[in-house]
This record gives sequence, C-alpha cells and structure tokens, in this order.
Amino acid sequence: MESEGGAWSPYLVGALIGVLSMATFYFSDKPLGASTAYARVAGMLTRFVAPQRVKRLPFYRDTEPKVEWETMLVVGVVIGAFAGAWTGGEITGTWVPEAWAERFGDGVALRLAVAFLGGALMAYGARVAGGCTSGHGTSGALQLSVGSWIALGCFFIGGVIVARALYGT
Amino acid sequence: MAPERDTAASGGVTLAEAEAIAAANEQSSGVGKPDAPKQLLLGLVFGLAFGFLLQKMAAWPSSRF
Repeated sequence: MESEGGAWSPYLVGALIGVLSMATFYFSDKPLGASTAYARVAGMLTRFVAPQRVKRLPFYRDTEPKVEWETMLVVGVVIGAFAGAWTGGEITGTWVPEAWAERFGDGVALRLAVAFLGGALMAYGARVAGGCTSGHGTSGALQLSVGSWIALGCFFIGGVIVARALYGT
Repeated sequence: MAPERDTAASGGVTLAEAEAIAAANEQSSGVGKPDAPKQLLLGLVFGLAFGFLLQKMAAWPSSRF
C-alpha cells in the first residue's frame, strides 16, 4: 500500500470511501452525509430555549431533532479521525498551522475565530444546497445526481478562490 | 357549518379522522421514532471508518499528486 509517513494515497482512500459508501447503502439504507446531523443537533439544543419555535419550523417537521444514524456517524467521524491522526503520528498539539502562521501570525484567537466562521458558513451553505461535501461530493456524486455534480464543481471553485484569497499563489 | 363535519367533499372522512389517520401513518412509517440501536451502532462504526480514512488522506503531501 502506497503511503507517505502516516498518510495514505488519496486514490486508495477514495476507492475505500466508495466501498464504504456502498456498505452504508446496503446495511443502513443511508448515504454518507454529515450536515443534516448538525441541523438536528441545533434543533435539539434550540428545543431547550424555544421549543415552540422548533415545533413551528417546517424544516423540523420533516427532519425531527433527535439522535439518529447520521448523528452517530458524525460522532464516529470525530473519533475515527483522532484514531487516524494518532496512528499516523500527526498529533502535534499545534493550534496554528505553519502556512497560516506565515500569512497571519501565530495568534490562536484569530485562527479559532476564522475556523469557526468558516465552519458556520459551510454549514449554512450545506443547508441551502441540501448537502455538504460528504452528502453531495461522495454519496450524491456516486449516484450520478446532477445536482450533486454541480455542487461538487462549486466546492472546488469555492475552495480555489478562498485558498488563493487567503494564501495567494 | 363546521368544517370538521363536512364529510361530503373529503370522501366521508372528518377532520378528526383525517388527523388520526395521518398520525397512524406517521407512526407506522417511523417518523418521530428514534433509530433502532443496531442502526445507531452501525452509524457509529461507519463514522469511525469514514473519519479514519479522511484523516489518513489529509496528510498526503500535495507534491505527490
């Protein structure tokens, strides 16, 4: 198996994720996807402070705020990613990546604030688009969904534009 | 005329009966029910594999593409 340090070839990982995606369809009848779980958790948290508001929102009539398959998938992703980093010797305790520090300095607060903002924007975009990089980019694309392929192209275009804006050439 | 008593235009079903049928359909279709423990466990296992694979790919150097 081709590897570099603790990392595996993206071509190999891509193939394995394809197999994994087929397994989720076969065993659970669900696509690999993450963003709806965030929306459900947001609904669960909002129910503590404004239960009537959650009840009235049409989105939560179709997507009930509860712990379900996809919520557990996201929990597993966090643990699995930690295991992957652990076994690859990638846990360095570094808060600010080198490329970021060279461009914006090594302040942790700015890095965390921008990361949070990026995550919030991504979550919003995923809800507007009806899926995220997993739901559209993996599950939707392998089902040859036209919308997913358009979304996939937009992910790359958006990523290139933002990367160039942040880091230059 | 109370709308819930107007059964002629709705196939002889009152509003209360329609709501009861809708609730029964929701229940039988699984809406509102938590996923089975087996499916929750499967979700966790699939997530573990997915996260592990994504992390393994993330550190691949761009010069090797």
